Amino acid sequence: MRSYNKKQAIRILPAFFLLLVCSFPAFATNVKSAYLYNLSNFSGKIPYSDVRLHVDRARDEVYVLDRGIVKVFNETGMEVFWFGDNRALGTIYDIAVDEKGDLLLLSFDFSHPADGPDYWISKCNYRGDLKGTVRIGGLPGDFYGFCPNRMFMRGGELLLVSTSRMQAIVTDRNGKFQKGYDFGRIVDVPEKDRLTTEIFGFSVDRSGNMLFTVAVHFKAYVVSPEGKLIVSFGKSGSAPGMFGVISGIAVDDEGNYLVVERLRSVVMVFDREFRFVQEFGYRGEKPWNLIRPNEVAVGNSGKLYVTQLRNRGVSVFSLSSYGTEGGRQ
Amino acid sequence: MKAAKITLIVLSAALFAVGMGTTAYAFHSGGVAECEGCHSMHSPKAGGSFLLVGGDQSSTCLTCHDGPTLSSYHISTTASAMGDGVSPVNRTPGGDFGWLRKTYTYTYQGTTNTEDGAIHGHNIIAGDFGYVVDPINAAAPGGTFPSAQLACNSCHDPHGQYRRLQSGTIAKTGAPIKASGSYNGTSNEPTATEAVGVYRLLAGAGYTKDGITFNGVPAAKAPSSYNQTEADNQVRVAYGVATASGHVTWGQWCATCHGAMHSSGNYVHPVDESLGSTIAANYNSYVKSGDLTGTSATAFSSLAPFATNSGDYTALAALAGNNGSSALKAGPGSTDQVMCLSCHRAHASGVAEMLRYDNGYEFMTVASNYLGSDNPAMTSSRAPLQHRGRTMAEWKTAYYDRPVTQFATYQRVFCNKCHAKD
Repeated sequence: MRSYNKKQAIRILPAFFLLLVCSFPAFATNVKSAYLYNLSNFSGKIPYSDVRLHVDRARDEVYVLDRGIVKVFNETGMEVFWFGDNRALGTIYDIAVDEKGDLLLLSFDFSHPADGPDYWISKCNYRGDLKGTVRIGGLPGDFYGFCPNRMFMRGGELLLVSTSRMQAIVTDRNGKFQKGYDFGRIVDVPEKDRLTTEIFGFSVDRSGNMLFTVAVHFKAYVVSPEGKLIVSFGKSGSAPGMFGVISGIAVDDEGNYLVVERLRSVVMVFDREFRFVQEFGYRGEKPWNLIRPNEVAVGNSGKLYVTQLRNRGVSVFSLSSYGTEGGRQ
Repeated sequence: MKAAKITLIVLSAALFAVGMGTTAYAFHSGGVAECEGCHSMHSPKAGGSFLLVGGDQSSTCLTCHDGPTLSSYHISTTASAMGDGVSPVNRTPGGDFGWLRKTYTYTYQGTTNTEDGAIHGHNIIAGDFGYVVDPINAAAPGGTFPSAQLACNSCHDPHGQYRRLQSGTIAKTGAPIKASGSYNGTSNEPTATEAVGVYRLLAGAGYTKDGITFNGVPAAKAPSSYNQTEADNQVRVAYGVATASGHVTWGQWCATCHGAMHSSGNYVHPVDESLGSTIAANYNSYVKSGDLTGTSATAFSSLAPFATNSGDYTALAALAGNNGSSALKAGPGSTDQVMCLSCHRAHASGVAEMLRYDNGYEFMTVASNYLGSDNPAMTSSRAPLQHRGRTMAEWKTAYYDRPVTQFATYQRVFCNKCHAKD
C-alpha cells in the first residue's frame, strides 16, 4: 500500500477541498416558499393596493401606511391598532421605529407647494400620540432642496431617501446632517436624467448596507454605509431570474436577496452569491398568487410581506432555506 | 446562436439607451417597445389577453406609468400615496389620472354634495389600479365610443407604428423609426432613411378601436422634461395645425370620439378656428383680472394654450420648452387656433370636466387666496358651493402650484384670457 508523507498530504489537501466543494451542488442554496395569509382585521383580509410597509422585528409587528393612515398588525397578521387622523402629524409618507419602540413618521405639509413641500419627522409613542417633531437641518449644497419620500432607522441614525433624486442623507436623532449619499453619482446617472431613472425599491440590511433597484437599468445595487458600490446584479429579460420592471428589494436572514419583478408578478430569490435560486407568486387569483407586486419586507421566523395591486392586500409568505451553509435543514 | 447574439446586441442597445442616453425617450423610443415590457411570453397568468403582463390593457401601461412620486413618465399617482387633502403629484401637460380618485364632498344647507372623481378626466379602465368604467357617461360625450372600452390604447397606438417621414408624411410602415418625434432636438427629426414616431404614439389614420376610426395624427412638439411644477416655469407644449399627409387638427382628432363637440356644424365653442385679431389681442394683453397691460412677447399661459398655425415641426420645436425662456412665452397671432386642449387636459385635471382651470364659480381666487374651505374670506353660506370641498392648497395643485400672486386678488375664471370680460 502506497503511503504519502506529510509534505505530499499538504500539497494534496487544497485540491481535495476544491474537489469536495465542486462535487456537492447541494451546497447551493435551496429555498422553499409557502403562502401563509394576508394581513387582516376582524372583517377579513384588508383589500390594500400598493401600500408602504415597515416591519418592526424587535416587537414582531408590521406597520402599513395607506392614504395617510397607519395600521399596526401583530405577529399573526391581525390588525391591532391604527392612527393617522391627527392633522398635527401632517401627511405621513413613511414610518420607522426606533429601538425603544417609539415611532418616527415622515410628515409633510403641502400647503405651500411653491416654496417646496415642508417636511419634518414626527416623533410618536406606540399609540401614534405626537411627542415632538424634528426638523432636518445643516444640509450641504449638494443636497440643497433635498426632499425625502422614504425613511429608515439605521444604527440609531435616520436615513432619509429621495428615490426620484437618487440621494439619501443620514442625520442624528435631532435631524442634524451627518452624511449624504448620491446614488445617482454612484450608479452614473446624470442629474438631468434622474427623474426619468429613479429608484424603485429601497431597503437597508442588518449591516447597514443600502439595497436599491433601478428598473430602467434592470439592475439591483448594494451600497455600503461608506458609500461604496459593493455589487450590482441583474439582467434584463422575462425568463425566471431576469429583470423586467423590478421594484422592492430586501435581504432575508439567510443572506438571500429578494427582488420583486412587477411584470411577471413574482418575487425572485437570489443567494448571497447573487445566483438565481427560485421565484414565487405569479399573476393569478389563487391565494399564493401576486398581482403586480411592489414592495417586499422581511419579518421574523422567515416571514415575508409582499404588497400588490388590485385590492389583493398584503400577502405573507414563509421562506425557508435548506441545504445551505448556515441555512435551516 | 446567431439569434442569441442578436438578442444580446438588441438588449445591450436598449440598456445603453435606457441607462446612458436621454432616458425620457427610453423604452418606447417613438415606436414599438421591447416586447417583454408588455407581454409575458411564458409566465403563467390568469385571465387577461394578448399575453399582457397587466390584467388589462391600461393596467399594463400603468405598470410603469403609475407611481407615488413625480417622475417624468408617471401619468398616474399611486392611490395609497393620496390621503385626504393630498393631490396627485404629477404635473404633466396631459394631467394625472390620479385626479379620477379624488372625490370631493361638501355640505350645503344640510345636504352633502359629492363631486365624483370620475368627472375629472378620461375614465380609463385599469382594474389592477382601481380605475373603473365611467359611472356617469355610458359613451363618449358627443359620440358613441363605449365608456366600457376606454383604455390607453383607445387614443395611443401601443405599438407605435405611426411614423413621420422626412417628407412630412405620416405613415404606418416605411422607414424605420429611430426615435420619438414628440420632443425637440435634431435627433428627434426624421432623415432621408429614418423616421420618427408621431407625437405621443397617438393613433393615426386607419387606427380602429371599438367602432371608431382615426383619420390622422395631430402635430405637436414637447420638451423632453415635461413633468414639473409650474410654480416658477411653465411647460409649453407647442401644438400645431396640420391637415396634410396623414395629419388632422387637434379638434378633428378629439372629434373621432367626441364628434358632436366639434364646432363644425354644431353650436358649441369653436375649435380648429382662428383666434382672430380681437381674441389674439385679448390673449396677449391679458395678465389677470383688471390688468390688460401684457404684451405678445410674454403672453403665453399653459392654462390656456393655443395651436400655432403651423405644421412645421422645426418651428413648433422652437416654441416647446420648460425653462421659462423668452421664446416660450410668445402669445398667439390672429391665425393661431383655439382647440380642445386650450381648455381641457388630455388625461385628467383637478377640475371638473378635465378643464385646465375652474369655471364652477366666477372667481378662481378670493381675497388674494385660492378658493378653499380654509380661505378666511369665504364665509358666506354659499362658500361650500364655491370651494367644493377643497382646501386652498388643493386648488393650488390643480393650477400646477402657481403662486396665487400670478392672479388678481379676485381673479375671474380664465375664460377671460381670451375673452377679457373682467
